[in-house]
Amino acid sequence: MTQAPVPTPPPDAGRDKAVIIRTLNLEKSYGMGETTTYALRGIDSAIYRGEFISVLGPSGSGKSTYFNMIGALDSPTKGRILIDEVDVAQLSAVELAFLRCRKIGYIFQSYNLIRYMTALENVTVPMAFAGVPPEAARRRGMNLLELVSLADRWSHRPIEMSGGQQQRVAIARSLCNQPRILLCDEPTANLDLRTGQEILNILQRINKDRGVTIVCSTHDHRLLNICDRIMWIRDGQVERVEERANVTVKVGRIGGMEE
Amino acid sequence: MKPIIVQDQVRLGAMRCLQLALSGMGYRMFRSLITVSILSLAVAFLVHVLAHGMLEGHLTGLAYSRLAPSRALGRWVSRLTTADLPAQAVRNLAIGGDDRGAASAAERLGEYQRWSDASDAQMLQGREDAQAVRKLEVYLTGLTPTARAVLAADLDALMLARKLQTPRQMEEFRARLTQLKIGDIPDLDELVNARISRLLALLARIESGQLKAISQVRGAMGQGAQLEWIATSPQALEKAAGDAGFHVPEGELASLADPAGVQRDMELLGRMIESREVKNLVARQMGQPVALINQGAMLDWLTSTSRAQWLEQTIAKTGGKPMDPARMLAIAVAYQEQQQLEAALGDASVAVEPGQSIFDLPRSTLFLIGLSFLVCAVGVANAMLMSVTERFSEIATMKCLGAMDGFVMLMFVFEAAMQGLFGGLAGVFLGLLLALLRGLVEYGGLVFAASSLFLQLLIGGLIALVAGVILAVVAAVWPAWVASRLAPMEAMRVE
Repeated sequence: MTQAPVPTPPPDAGRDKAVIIRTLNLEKSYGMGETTTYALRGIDSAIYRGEFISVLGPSGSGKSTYFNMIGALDSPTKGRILIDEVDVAQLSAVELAFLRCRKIGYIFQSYNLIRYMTALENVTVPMAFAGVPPEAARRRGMNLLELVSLADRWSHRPIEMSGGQQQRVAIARSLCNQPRILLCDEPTANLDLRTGQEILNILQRINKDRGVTIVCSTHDHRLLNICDRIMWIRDGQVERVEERANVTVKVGRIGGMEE
Repeated sequence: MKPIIVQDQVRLGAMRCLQLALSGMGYRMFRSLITVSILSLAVAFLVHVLAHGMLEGHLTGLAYSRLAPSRALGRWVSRLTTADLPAQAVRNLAIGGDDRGAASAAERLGEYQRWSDASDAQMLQGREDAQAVRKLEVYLTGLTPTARAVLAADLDALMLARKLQTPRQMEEFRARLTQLKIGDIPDLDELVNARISRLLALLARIESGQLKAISQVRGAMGQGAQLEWIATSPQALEKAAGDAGFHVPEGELASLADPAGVQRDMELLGRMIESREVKNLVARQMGQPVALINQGAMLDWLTSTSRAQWLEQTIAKTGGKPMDPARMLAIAVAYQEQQQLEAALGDASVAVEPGQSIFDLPRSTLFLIGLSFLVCAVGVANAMLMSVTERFSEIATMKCLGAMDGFVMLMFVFEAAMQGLFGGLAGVFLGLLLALLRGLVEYGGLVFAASSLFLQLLIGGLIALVAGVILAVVAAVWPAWVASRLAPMEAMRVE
């Protein structure tokens, strides 16, 4: 398979900042033989510690697959993923569970809350897996719900909450074990403008106050205003990576953001 | 900024896992209830078949043993009335005895020897001859129905052997054997040429001897029916029958006196309503067409003192000789009990002892139990598979949040075990209840006579319970294992 010329990130960009997630020639394909479909066709990328990076790309470009890969939720067909210079493929199942539980927070487009649990119980699930005593977990859970301004709704089930509220519970859940990385797969896709903005504000605060690295895939232009860098993915390949400062965002054109 | 240091995830203790699984079950109470009720139905089905099989076996045996006096009575009446049929005599000679088996063989043979006045050697020869006839009978029974019809028509072995004494018949028989491509019957020539005439002669001597003995008893006892003799003077009958060469076990007739009295009065009562006038009145009182009125229907209807009194007055009014109402009622009760026992016995006319364990059950019942076990297994497996596969995305989410494979497995094992336990318990209870209700419908009050079966039923239920729990766990573990091995996102894709 021939690869389109991939613009590698500027070499000097990596020197002053430590790389927290690095992917090397990442490939993912589904099916066998002639019916093989490629979701990722060799992605080389580097995400720096403490930055807020947006990943852009049309539907089916491989964004979600890329997210699952760097979140150690799925295994690549080829290539390597290094999280803090540790190859994910070399981690045992127990270490993977540790990584998912404590070091990475996930926010999904479809929230993925456990539907029979209340908001507070949903938030405390990862803490239970981390071995936090129930009492401490509940206290920390309430603090986190307060952070996303849902403290008064702690006893509600997902079905009794709006999409924005559910997404905020998911954010609280993703933060409960103080992760170093937060992966957000289209966090505002199912939300209206105002709730989307609230979610973005929360994410920005987490990034600035806690220094959590945030990787965020989105179609939402507002997100571009608060991120540090933007990465474009098309047909399973990295098209372009730019500093936010070098990009002008124009709204109102179909085809995404243009310089 | 601290670097990411990857360590081993903490392992949760079994108690913590149990706690989490329990609270999870609490959240999904409704869905769990559905699974539990499917489990309980499957187990109930198994337990019901098991319990019913055990009840049936036990009660059939019980009915058989309780009907022993009535059987003995019937045997005595027929023995004191007519000579044994030739086929029956052959059977008695060959295997020695009636349905009681070999125990009474010597008694029957003794009677036959006394009546026929045959020597020991002759009796021995007769037994051998009879055994040869039995062999032919067994051979005929082993044939296909078509072959049997062509060869023997409706004849029993003795009659067939007698017919084959004619050379022409023998020729035809042989031709048919060839036609049917059946080889020659072993020892047929010997049986037909040498044995059969000798055996027939012996049988004739036995028959005439028995008839003589019967008339001797009749002479000693005077007029009246056999039931009457047994009911009123068993001792005299015992002596008379013994003198006539009958083998009378000591005290047997005396012990049959009461049942004989009831049987006699039953017939007496039946005759009382035979007159047109009484029958019409009884029919009107019972609210049924006259054509349906007979002894049995009347005895079934006779369930209260007021009815007995009405019957007494009616018979008296029409000029009959009535019976004491209390006696009538007692007879009716005895009749109803006997009917119940006979219904419980059903087709099982062979000797059955009250079943003592599951393995004493007839093969057909065991087959049914095996089949229902299979149905139960499939039901349980399906219920558990459903409840696990619909939670694949939940498993995936939990794995995203740091759950370990072991925890996911343990959670499902706990949950399946709990559901299996509750479903199994409910199922055992339901199944036993159903079996009891069905027993009540089929056997009436007789079912309470099976109380000695309680412990066994409980053990059977326990086995079904354990089987249910194990099945539930196994059926849940497999898909949970598959799901927990998958990478979280792969599991989420499986829907």
